[in-house]
Amino acid sequence: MKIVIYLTVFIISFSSLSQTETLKGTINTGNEPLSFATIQLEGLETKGVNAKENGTYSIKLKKGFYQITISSVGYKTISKQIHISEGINEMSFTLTEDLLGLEQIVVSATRNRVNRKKAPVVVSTLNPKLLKATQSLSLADGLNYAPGVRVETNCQNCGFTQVRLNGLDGGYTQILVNSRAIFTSLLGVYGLEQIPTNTIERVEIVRSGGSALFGSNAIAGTVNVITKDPVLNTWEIGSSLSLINGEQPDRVVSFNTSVVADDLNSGITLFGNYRSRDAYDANDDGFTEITKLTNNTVGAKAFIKPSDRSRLTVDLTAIREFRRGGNKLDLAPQFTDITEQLDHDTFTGGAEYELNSKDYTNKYAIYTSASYTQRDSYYGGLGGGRTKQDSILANNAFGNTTDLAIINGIQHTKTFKNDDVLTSGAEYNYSTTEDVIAGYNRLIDQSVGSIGIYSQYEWKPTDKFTTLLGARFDNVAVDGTYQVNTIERNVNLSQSSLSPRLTIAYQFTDELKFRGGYARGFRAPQAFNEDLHISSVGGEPQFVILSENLETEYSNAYTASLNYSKDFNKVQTDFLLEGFYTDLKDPFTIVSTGTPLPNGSILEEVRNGSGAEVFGANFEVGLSPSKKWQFQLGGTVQESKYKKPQLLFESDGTAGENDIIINEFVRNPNVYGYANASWIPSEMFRLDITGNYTGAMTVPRVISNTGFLKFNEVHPFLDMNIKFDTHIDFSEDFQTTFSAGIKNIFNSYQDDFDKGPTRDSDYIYGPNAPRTFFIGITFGKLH
Amino acid sequence: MKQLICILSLFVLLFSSEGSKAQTTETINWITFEQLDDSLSVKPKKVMLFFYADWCVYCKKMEQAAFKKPEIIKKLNRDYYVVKLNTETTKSFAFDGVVFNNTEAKTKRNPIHEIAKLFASREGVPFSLPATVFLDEDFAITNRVFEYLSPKKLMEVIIDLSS
Repeated sequence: MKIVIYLTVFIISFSSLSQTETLKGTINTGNEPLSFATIQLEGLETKGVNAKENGTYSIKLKKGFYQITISSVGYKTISKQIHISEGINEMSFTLTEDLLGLEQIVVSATRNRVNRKKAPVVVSTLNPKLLKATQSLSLADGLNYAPGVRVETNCQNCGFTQVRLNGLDGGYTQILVNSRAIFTSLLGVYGLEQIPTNTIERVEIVRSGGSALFGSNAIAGTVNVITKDPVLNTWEIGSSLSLINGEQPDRVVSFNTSVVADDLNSGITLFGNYRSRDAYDANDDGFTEITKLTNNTVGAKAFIKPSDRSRLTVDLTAIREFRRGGNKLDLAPQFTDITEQLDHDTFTGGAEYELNSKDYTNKYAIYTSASYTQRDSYYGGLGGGRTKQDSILANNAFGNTTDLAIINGIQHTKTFKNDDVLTSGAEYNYSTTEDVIAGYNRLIDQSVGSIGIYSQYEWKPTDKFTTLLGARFDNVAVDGTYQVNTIERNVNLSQSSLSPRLTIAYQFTDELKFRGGYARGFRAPQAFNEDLHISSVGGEPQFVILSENLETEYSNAYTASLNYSKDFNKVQTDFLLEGFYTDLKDPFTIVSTGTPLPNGSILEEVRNGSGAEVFGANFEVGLSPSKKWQFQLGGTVQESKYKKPQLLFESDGTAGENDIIINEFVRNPNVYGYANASWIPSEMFRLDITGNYTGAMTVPRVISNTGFLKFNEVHPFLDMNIKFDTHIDFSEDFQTTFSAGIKNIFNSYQDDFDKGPTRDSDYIYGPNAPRTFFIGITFGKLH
Repeated sequence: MKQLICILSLFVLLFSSEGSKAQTTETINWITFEQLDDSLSVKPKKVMLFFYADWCVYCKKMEQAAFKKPEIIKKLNRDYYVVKLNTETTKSFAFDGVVFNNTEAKTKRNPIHEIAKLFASREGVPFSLPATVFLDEDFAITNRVFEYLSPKKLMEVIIDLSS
């Protein structure tokens, strides 16, 4: 402000030459002189001057009538008609104080990163812009763009995807939708591909379970999908067409619309998504590498605020998804060599009520959610043979699955005067899954009830130091029957465990922050997502069953990170270096036991493996020189190994085959990462270049029909995408965006797929699609 | 494709007709600070200042809700000079004899214009939007609101100030 004042004084004194008459006087507050008040005169000429420190002012003017306005920050402005006569005119003015006071100037660039910076745990977020930039059609496509996260397709026949966080399998990550654990083991198999991106407001990823609020199985971390919570009335409808390898179409039509009342006390978002993807066969053997897929999702999320302090939210989503892979997709499944066909009918619904106390220091939340899935499956086929036995088996490979999950919980958050926060709550989750395939005498009949009680205290003894101290008590009761052919296993247990959680954060300087955390977690024996998946090997289905006397596995996870973020004028920088170490005790490990079943199928058993440790570092570098340019680079360097050699294949004594023992995790590259760059020259154009790097890794492949494995060292992949967007504003109410681009420009794709009806369908790794061209259009009231 | 074009043109028609309807209805006579300077010198009147930014979704909602209500438009146009300013504008302008700049434009990603800081800053509280400032005929501040104003709330504030 001072500069402005000096500037004004300078300009005025410069221009006030050759004037004859003088107006002078003092400006005061009634008691004392007021410094630097602004005096403005309008009339024959327009002039201004600032009073001096002692309140005096002086200005030269032509004689005549003027309107004088005197103002000063913190005082009420006065305006009067005056007359300047010849010679010296003396006038003094009194300003009265403005009690609402425009006091000192406080400015803070508080948006964006501040919340993230202040949080005691590192939260990585994926926003819709990045999901759009990477042309992500489902959540599975976009998740790769956060440090430590790797999503990979694990089956050529059904497209089963797994999210791997900090080097651990899908079962170690808790997937939440709007902070609720409605993702059951069954939904975990294909669910990542079932969530369309147009419903996503953001995805929050917390690596390592340093918070007591997360479930006992959130050992690698949590992925929390937050759906849209609108303010404006908007609508949009969009469509895109992709050509996988320039030939196989993948069509999407999606819409969403939001209406929010003017008083913001109620609102609704409706969304829908249609996707139809043709199957893709990479090696022309007649068998799919990417499944045929149709997905229809509709849903709504609505809220009402009965009072200023309370809010009721309800959400409903229905998903109908059909997918099919294998060969001869135009025939009924039982006439093909291999078919995996899944028809999901999923309904999820939830309600949440939040109430704040009058002084907003206490917040109560009560919530309930349920998801119900009915699934028709077909996992089988003739398997290359055409015998009567093959035909009978193929005709009996139809299955049915029902899956129900219910979550009820309460949470209380108390904020103390010194900003300390105490969060406590209780949650009861119940899930029941029944998966029946009569032809294989295969049954998974499992119910899991878990009670979790947690409390966490966020203690801020100084401005710089924050600590989260917490613990959760879990009781997990599993009642399961698992059958394949002649084998039956039962789990009937009730397991209680106390898991302490600790996080500390220290702000060294405004720019540099240290965080460290410890979390203990466990997983009670039960069928997780991988165990529900049936692949096909040697023309026969390959099953997973829990071993006898499977014990609970425990884990200890440690993490430490340094975060440096600083703005150099307009240049924003952000560096994150995060180390993690996870120690697994008796981890659930899938061991192939060959073919003990009479029908010749391969059976894999979930056993307690030897202890393992996963450790490494995630890094993320964000640089944005201006609003026009944004760069981000992140990655993971890690190692995951068993403490003692781990059996992976148990030989039945067939000549030339022996037990296979490994020291390191398979399908786990030691280096992987992502990069993205955006160029936004104007509001009309946007160019995004994004990419993923997957380092070399070991992938097992079944090479004989006994299930004998061979380890292949596979080469690294660089999956780069380019996308161009142009945006046209027709009016305030109607805008259009056109986009076009190429995914996987360099066609960095697996080149050694197994072939034919006896292939190992799990032998798939790396980027989930070859080079793909796409175009898209979106129109509506976008903002 | 033909269908798509049909639907598209239908939408365009639909919205253009709505657009023309909107033109006939009254809108708020937003003025700039320079214009306010002139207007005040000619005829003193109450003033309402509305500060917004492109990123501020609640500001947008106010423009779509409160500032579109006929009774509010009528009242504001009759009794007030209403000034709208994008706090991130880099324009310099003179107001009340002082030149105001956006001095943060060179150093900050979301620079706040000096005049916005002057009228809408609070002690100990970070600058926040939306900010609506009401002034009386003597250009003295009578009320400042630093939150979303629904049509009802804005009307209450205006009525409160005129009583």
